Amino acid sequence: MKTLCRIMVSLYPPAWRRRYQREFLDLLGDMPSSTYREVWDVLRGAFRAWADTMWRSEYGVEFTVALVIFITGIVNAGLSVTGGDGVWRSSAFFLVTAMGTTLACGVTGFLAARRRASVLRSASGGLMLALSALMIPAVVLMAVAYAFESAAAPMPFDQFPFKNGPLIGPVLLRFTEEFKHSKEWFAHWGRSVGLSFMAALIAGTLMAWLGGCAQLVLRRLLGRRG
Amino acid sequence: MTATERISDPTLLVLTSLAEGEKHGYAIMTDVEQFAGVKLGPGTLYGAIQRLEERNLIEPVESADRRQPYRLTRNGELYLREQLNLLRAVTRLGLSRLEAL
Repeated sequence: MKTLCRIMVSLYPPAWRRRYQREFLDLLGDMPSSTYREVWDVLRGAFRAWADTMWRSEYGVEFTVALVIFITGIVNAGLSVTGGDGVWRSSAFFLVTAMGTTLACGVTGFLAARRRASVLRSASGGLMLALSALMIPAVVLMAVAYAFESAAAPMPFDQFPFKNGPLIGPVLLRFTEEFKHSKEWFAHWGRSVGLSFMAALIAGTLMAWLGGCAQLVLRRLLGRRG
Repeated sequence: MTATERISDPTLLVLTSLAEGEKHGYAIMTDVEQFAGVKLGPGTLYGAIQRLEERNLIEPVESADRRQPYRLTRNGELYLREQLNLLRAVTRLGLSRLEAL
């Protein structure tokens, strides 16, 4: 467990590690033993250190934008997966959640631009964070889902190679049947989850930009009057 | 920093431990466990140390030992006194209300 704790110190932000890593490792060395509780504590500490770092950094508000998008994507995807084929997977539901995300991101973008001279800089920070948080898993999920769907056509048994073999045929057939089942599952839900993330990402980022622009326009208008 | 500002438990426990004198991380951990019965994990302890150091309530002490000791600053002493006085007032009030039941 101690080794695991030591490895997990690398999860802390670089600035934190520069300042505390040596003494933190000394502390772990002093402790007689460590359990899963300590491992969990180190993991939680790393998360909190990152959250503190991000929140206090120049991109603190953009971090909030990315977090709002991320949570919305998770909730949307979770409801899509667990909600069956009813209202949760309907286009109306996607529309409502997309509208909620865009509204929240618009407000956050508006607030972010208040602290900055450049809306472009403000929004690019949000975009960068949102991209790193969501784009990669969303694209991977969707790519795999589409690949599985295109390959999901079942192979007729009589065309199956080695079907008459003593052992290989039935084993391969069973494997193919199970693989086909998993392919269908992934093709169905993977795309739904990927789409949820993508919708939240695109709508949220666009609205964060628009919120920032609104702030800039408002500030210029008020500045002229002043 | 005002007396009404909320302080989370681990930071108050670390400050109370350092009120006895300078200590390194593991000594704080064992001291807190002894006087409060709370086992601070390494992540929680260093989260508290980081926040306290940033708020200038504790400071590292130069040491030849490989372990890094910390001590209360003047601000830390004042802050801990404020917090403990506030807790004492709340404790007294709570106990008197319980006795009136």
